[in-house]
Amino acid sequence: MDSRLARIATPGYAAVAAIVVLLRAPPALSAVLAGPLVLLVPGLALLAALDLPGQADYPGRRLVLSIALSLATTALGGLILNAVADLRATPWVIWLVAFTFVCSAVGWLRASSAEGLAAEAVAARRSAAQRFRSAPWHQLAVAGIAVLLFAGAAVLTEESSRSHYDKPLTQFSLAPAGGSNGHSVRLTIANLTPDTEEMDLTLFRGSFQIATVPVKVLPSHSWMHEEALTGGVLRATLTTLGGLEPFSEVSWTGDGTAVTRAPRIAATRRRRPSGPAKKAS
Amino acid sequence: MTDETIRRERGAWLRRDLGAARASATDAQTWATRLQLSVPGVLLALAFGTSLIAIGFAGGRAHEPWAEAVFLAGWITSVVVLAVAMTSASLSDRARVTVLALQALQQSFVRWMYSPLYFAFPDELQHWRAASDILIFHHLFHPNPALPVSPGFPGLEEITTALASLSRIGIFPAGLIVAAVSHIALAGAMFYLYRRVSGNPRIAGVAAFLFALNPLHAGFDTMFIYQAPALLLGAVVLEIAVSDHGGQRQQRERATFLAAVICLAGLVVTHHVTAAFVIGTLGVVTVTFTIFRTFGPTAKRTLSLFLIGTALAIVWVSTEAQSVVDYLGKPLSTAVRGVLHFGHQSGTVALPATHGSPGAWLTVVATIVTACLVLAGVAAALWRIPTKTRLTLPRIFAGFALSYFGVLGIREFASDGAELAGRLLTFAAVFTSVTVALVLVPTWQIGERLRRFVRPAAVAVSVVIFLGATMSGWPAPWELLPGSFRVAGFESGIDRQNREAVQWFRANLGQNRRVACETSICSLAGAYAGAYPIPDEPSLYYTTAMTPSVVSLIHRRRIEYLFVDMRMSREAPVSGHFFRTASSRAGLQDPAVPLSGLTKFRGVSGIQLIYDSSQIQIYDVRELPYG
Repeated sequence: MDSRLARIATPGYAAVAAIVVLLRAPPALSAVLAGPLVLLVPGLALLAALDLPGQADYPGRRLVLSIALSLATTALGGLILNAVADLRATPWVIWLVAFTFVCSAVGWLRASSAEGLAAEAVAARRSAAQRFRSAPWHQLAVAGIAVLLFAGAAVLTEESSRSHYDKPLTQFSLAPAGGSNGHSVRLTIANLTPDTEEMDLTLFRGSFQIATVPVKVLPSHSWMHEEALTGGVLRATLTTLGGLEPFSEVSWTGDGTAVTRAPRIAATRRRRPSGPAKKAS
Repeated sequence: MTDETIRRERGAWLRRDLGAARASATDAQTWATRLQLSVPGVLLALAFGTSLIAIGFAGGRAHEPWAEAVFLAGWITSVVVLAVAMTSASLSDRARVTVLALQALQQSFVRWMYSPLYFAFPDELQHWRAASDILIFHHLFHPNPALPVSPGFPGLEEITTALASLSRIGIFPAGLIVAAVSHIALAGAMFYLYRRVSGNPRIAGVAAFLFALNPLHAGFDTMFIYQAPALLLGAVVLEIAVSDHGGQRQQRERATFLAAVICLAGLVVTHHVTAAFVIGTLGVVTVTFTIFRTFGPTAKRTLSLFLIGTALAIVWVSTEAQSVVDYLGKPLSTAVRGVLHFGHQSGTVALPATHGSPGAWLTVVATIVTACLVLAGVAAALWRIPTKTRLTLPRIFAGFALSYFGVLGIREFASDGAELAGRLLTFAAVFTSVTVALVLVPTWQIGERLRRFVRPAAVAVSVVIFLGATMSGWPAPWELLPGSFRVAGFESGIDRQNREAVQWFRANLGQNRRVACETSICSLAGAYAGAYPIPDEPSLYYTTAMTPSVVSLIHRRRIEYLFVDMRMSREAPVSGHFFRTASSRAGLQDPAVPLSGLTKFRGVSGIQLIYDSSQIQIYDVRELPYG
């Protein structure tokens, strides 16, 4: 491959990745293409523009420099974008692709250098291909087994962590019902367990028990009930079927006084000194 | 003596590499020096070690008693294999870089295995909030009450949100990818830096390997924190700064310099401490070069980068990141005061093994071994490197390695010093690693009988350093394995109970609510609920009745909601504190909260109990009357 053609590869990749991203491809495909677009391609293009060759004593240094420069230019580019546009997908794509194209164009103009990027890239690819072809089969087999072991570790981790995280949990909550102007509250039981949950909901008004309702909630489902606030403390408990001690409880004591939140905050703010204290005359 | 003469003589000395020559001569006689590993072999061993670690983690989640032994066996296997590979004389430069990258890949992979579903460490959650704000508001510099300084250093969040916006994979996967790519690239960057400093690939490989064993590297530097990309940028800047461009065209040297300036600018907007460290190092290297060598091209380059870095930092701090002055100033002044007054107080969190846990002796042994090796390395750099080669850099780095003792001083004598010392160890390791490597890969003549023990000793020392680092770094010793919940632990303080509560809170009550809570829930609420967390009011919970002072406190701090974790009454906080406390209380152990302290809010007029999952309760205190 001609060295100039090799320099087209970087902006070409950026263009393809940008199109895929803007067409809103599935996240997995977008991630595969956008990862290098953010973390590698801008740096590669910048290296081409700077015409920095690799060094034999420092294998892989160009790759490390490319990643570092990509991180730096993305961070600095974000500051520029923040000043002129919103930090959304489209401005990011425009910035990354434009930066890559400009740097690649500069690199294209400097491609006559004998130690150009492309020649080195081609040589590296040849070298890698030769190494791969000349690698003994048992080394490839060893690498294959290693990859399988890593994959097994990932699967085990995924399964053990999900089963650990999926500990059963029942949420019991209370909030003013929408549109009731504070005259009623909504009780919600969310069943975050893998089984159907059956329990008794008991309502108290003050110290009087006013109702006991059996409740059955399917896994990953919620049960809701609205209760009027007719004065006094409203308390609701959940007990297991036939149980005595509640395992969950919510309560609404009312507002207590006529003091509302807004005046309190305003009062607090008024008390805060706004400047140097003045001495009383 | 001209620069060219120096370069020639130094090259001759470096090519001599007596260690490698001697090793190959005696290879036939000793198994210890004969043992060679190929890259696929190392990969297989690391995969095996990683599998053991995965089994250990799964066992930890199932509360199996054997889990920790399997976990440690996995790590020790990996460290032994890596040490054997890196001390090998016959490994090519490319293979060394590959092995170091594999080590970093394994560390990032294990980090993901530890918490594969969500970020759980407080610092990660703080950066999650900053990244989330960028995705919500589409602009930078939105205030972050969870970490007020972070909007001023948005580099990590910009990169992560760029990836998340383009790929729509979410902040968690995007953050993992950014942190892992930075961490793996850092392994290469450290090798190139140490190659420049020592001039010897074998020393550079061992130094980069030892750097990756520092207490914070495997657990902390692999996290979604701003230090992850910053370390890479800093290493690249330092590597370019000290590189010897002998014979290069001026145009190419300018291009390299420009690359360093771009990385330096990226660093300044990414992480304050790393930027300060790199700029400070450039300054001291310049001064040392000027005094002990000549004001040659390297000194000019480091001086230029120092001046540019300082100017960039001043401009950035004075415009967008003013909060960093307060953020760094307080702990630094506290540490300095503590050291000056010899106030012997242990810290709260970073080095818990020093508080009598089962792994404490390992930390002590590893600290002693490292200290002895640093001293030996300094001696080697001063007396064993021929003076006429004028290898100034190894000597400068060896001199800087003495900062390790300063970090130990902060750990021992400063109030809350363990926290600060733990963080500084990464930066001290930049210098100690190459200094210790000078001892573990001797490039001068030593006796045959002694030489055959050098490589096994290097492997053994690596294992000791690793074990000490494991017990004094992250994750903390009580949460080496995931799966056990501990209130106010770090990652172990996060479980489904408090996560679901916080998500319910966000779904039903919205963002920007002022909530009082203990540290774990406050980390979660600050991130996932977009709340304004108030984690520093212990009296709110420890007081056993609704006294006027509690009511007054709620009003004074304008608290809107209270999170109560009933598990606070069952055990004392493993980290020492349930709540954020003043540094004067660092190292003290808070007791469990009395049950009446947690239940006193029930039935109080004006306080609504709006959520209960049997462990977590949320109270609405907005209508609590005065008095």
